Amino acid sequence: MTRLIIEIVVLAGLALAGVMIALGANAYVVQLLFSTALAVTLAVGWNLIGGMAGYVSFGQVAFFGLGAYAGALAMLTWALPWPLAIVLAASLAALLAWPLGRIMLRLSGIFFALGMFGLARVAQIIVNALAITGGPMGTSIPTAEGPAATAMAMVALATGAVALTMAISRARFGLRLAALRDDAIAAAAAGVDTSRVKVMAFCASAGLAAAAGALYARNVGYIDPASGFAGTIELQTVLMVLAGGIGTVWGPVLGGVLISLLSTVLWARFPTEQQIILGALTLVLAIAMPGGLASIPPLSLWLRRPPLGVFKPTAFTPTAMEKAPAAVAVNGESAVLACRGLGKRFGGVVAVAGVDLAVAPGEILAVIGPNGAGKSTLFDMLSAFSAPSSGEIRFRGAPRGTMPPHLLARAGLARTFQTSRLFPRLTVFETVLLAATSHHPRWRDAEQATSALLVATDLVGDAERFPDALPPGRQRLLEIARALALAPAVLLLDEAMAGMTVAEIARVQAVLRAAAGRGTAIIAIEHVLPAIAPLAMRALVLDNGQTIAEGAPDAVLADPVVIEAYLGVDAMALAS
Amino acid sequence: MASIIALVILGLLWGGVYLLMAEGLNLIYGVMKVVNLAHGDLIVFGGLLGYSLFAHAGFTPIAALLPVALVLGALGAVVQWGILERIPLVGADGELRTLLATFGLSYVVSNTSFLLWGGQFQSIPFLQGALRLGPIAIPEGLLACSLAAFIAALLVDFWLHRTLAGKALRATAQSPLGAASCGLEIRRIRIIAFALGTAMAGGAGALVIALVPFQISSGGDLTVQSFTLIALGGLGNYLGAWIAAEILGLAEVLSQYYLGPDIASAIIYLLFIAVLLFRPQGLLGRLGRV
Amino acid sequence: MSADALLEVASISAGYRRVVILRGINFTLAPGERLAVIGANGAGKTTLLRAIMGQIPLSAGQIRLAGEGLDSASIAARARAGLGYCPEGRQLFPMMSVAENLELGAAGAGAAARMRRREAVLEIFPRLQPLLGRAAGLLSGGEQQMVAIGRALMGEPRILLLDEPSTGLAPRIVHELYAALARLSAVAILVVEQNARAALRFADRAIVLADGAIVAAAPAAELRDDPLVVSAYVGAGRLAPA
Repeated sequence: MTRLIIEIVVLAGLALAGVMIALGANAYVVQLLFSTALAVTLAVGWNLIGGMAGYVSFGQVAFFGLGAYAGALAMLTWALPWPLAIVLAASLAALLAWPLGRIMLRLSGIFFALGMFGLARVAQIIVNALAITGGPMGTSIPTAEGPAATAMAMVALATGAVALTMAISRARFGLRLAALRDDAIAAAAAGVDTSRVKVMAFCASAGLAAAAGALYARNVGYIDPASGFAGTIELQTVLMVLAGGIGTVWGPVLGGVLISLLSTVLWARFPTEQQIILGALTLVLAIAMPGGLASIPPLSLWLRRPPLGVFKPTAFTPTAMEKAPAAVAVNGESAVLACRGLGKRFGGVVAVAGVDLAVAPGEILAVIGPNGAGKSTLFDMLSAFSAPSSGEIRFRGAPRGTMPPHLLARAGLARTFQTSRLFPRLTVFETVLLAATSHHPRWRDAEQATSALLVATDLVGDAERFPDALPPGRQRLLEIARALALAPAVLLLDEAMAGMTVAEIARVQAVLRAAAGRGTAIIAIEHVLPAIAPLAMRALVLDNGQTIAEGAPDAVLADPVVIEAYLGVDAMALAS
Repeated sequence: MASIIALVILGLLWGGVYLLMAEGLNLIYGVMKVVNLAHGDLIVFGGLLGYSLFAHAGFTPIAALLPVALVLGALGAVVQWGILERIPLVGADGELRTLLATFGLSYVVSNTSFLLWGGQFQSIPFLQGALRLGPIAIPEGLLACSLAAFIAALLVDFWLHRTLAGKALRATAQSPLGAASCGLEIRRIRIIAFALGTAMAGGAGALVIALVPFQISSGGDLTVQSFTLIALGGLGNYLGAWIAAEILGLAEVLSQYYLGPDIASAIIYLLFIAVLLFRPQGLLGRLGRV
Repeated sequence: MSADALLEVASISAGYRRVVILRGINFTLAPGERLAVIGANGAGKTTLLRAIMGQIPLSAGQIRLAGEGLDSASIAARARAGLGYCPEGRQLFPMMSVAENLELGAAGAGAAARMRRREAVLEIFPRLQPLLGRAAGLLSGGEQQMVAIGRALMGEPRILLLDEPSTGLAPRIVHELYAALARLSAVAILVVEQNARAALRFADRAIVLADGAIVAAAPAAELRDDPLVVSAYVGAGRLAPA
């Protein structure tokens, strides 16, 4: 809480200083103030998509140019007052970014980065060709009031942008963004609508860039394609965020101020070498200091993302661990999850060939089989991460159809992954909280459920730690806690107990028993049966993508077919 | 009818030029899974270097090819050894940092070109005649460049598939750990691959400047153009790149003729985005990869 | 440490970032010896091989090959010094032919030596003879494992390091694979296995890893029925119906 107050005071102080400069200083300094605030706005805006969402874009300048032109035209053709024109430009860009983001954000990494670069070039070519924009010659805009007014507006915009990221970093949305950036698949498994989250970040980023562009045009009184879509703006924006600290709240502010001042100095003293120096700086930072200034102590301590969620120890009551929603049979069906003839082929390879399976609420089913038997592929299909080639899946009494993974997770189907998929930049508490917020609409309830789960999984002592500081067994425990935070009707465990110590296995067994007692159906994949055998009520043996045996664990293990296929021939001698 | 045939021939020849410019990027991506965003700027740098050799020493583009390739190759080796190797290849973080580093590099290269050669368009008058086949005229320069591209493509292909050094490079692309387990120093192999890629970019620039005037800001466009080509072909895929080059050449020439230069210059980007969205694995999928 | 040891692993600790996986591992391997390292998933078996090959740095201890410390040698340098490594996931060159895969295993040797070694490998794995022209990625799991071992043998290593060669293979193929390995005489073998039965039948001596430390080391024959192995191997619960 004190951290928030400090941040608000700092931000208010900066804004106030900006206003004082705008009102009191000479024209040169006011112009410097304008360009600095512009830089901060662009950096903070770019950071929303490039840093917080993890989608680096080399074409955010497209929205800057778009905003500049939209604002200019609104002022010229409709004679709108300039503040209104700026709001209009920002809204237009944010609106346009929605469908655009829906398409472009299906790309990632280099593809998204270069795709955005291409989009910016297309926008420039269009503007160049149109008559209404003045073509290559550009357009002039009247600037009646002095530079102080636009400078103050720019300071206000920058302040608003920072306040926005401050709010995001403390909200559910920020938690989801961080999870998305770290691991989109695991985020979806925790119930996060990843495409919606990233498109929203993209729209906000576009809106900020456009507002900055419109104000820029108003300030210089002139806009043409070369200045509206300048590569320099893109380079400086990326560099500012990189220098300050990509993905942090205050890094882009720091980088924005420093780099924009540096650019001005360089421009004055080395006009022709300016871009070489800035480019080289980007390069050096990417190699030597990818975390930017925000990664060096003591700044790293001050600028670290504030951990979210408060542990509520008093909340640990049996009711906090709620009953699974599917404990009651739906539509008279006894199975909560069932599949029939489920198959998957990759090209010519059949990974799963017609598996039938059903689990009832509260039942624990073990799925075993040698490596490569198709167990994980089966899970991917059941949890909607991969589409079956054949067969049908029924969940809670109805055909599942093609539900996206995050909706399925919200509907109560949780899973863990064979190799732990945790979020490197979320604490243990946040990791579980993320999934809990998918199930609990109220933040407080999510915190309570998270606290209860951490107590149950014995992770309370690690609550503020990051996953890579945990030994492998506890990482798996955390994944189970995250899955249980969805209060699932069905829990799919993929080799959850591999690498656990005896004590950890005992802990997991207790947690799973309790979950099953509350009505959660559990399907556990294990490479070897012993870890799950004491819990399982039924076992199913897969080999070469097919069920070769099913029944009580002891009976299954005594089945000669299983011994032959799974344990190997020489195990027969051992068993007899 | 004759005009359509002429356009198709022109398109196919331009495809060769595109292939020439993209091959280096393809090689680097194939071996290192790194997209060098400075690629287009290196092409321009090579072209302008060739222009200087022509203007001051009278080198024809063919004669300039080797020295330019050598200079750019050395530059590439330094970049890989001094910069990219310091960034871990694995993980999302590595990819992001590589992107940012080569993004910065592209500005360093293009603005160094600006310092050295200024901002004007430069070109070398070379082979300006035309070969006449009945009613169809084929520019000699285009023919020569296209031919050079195909020869270069074949040579690279031969080297990659028939020599032990080439196989070591492909092995590193397919499994770095496997290659290291065979006693191959993958760091050195990566330096060689990167140097080869930039040498090819430089050589391409030295040739193509006889055909298209270059200016320092052409770099970004050339990077995207080359990336479109190798993405369409399936990153790191040689056969695919060849086919993609022809498609791109035809699209460019035909849209230039029928839709005008403005739309033609936007077509490449629209094609690029469409390729990324609908055919991210490339035309041929896994077939024919490095 | 015995003077005639080919490989000495002296009190090494290693791990990933902030997590320590291996704690104070100590053992030696004599020339021609076959040593099995067994243990449950996550016990640190693969990490041990990675540490020996220099894929991950040591946080403590030293590894010596024929008396010489390996310290900061690269993976490739270790391979050339005589460590034939078949890593997790086999790491073949899937789009290259079996012949090319084998050829690269002896990249440092002359053409004549390469042909001679290839003949020797084909003698051990005759199954590969008709497959020489086939892309390695299109082979079955067992055949791929044979290519991986064959490729490592092409370097004429002093020690063969195998990471779970039986993974995903049918028991019959596992049997065939180990039978072929048993015929190798000149090379010492360090095999890491989840499949303890197969490994213990093959090895002279075995080490049991649990939670990153050695909990037992004895002649393989003694460990086959040891209840300690059973519990370390599976963590908890039961192994198989009695």
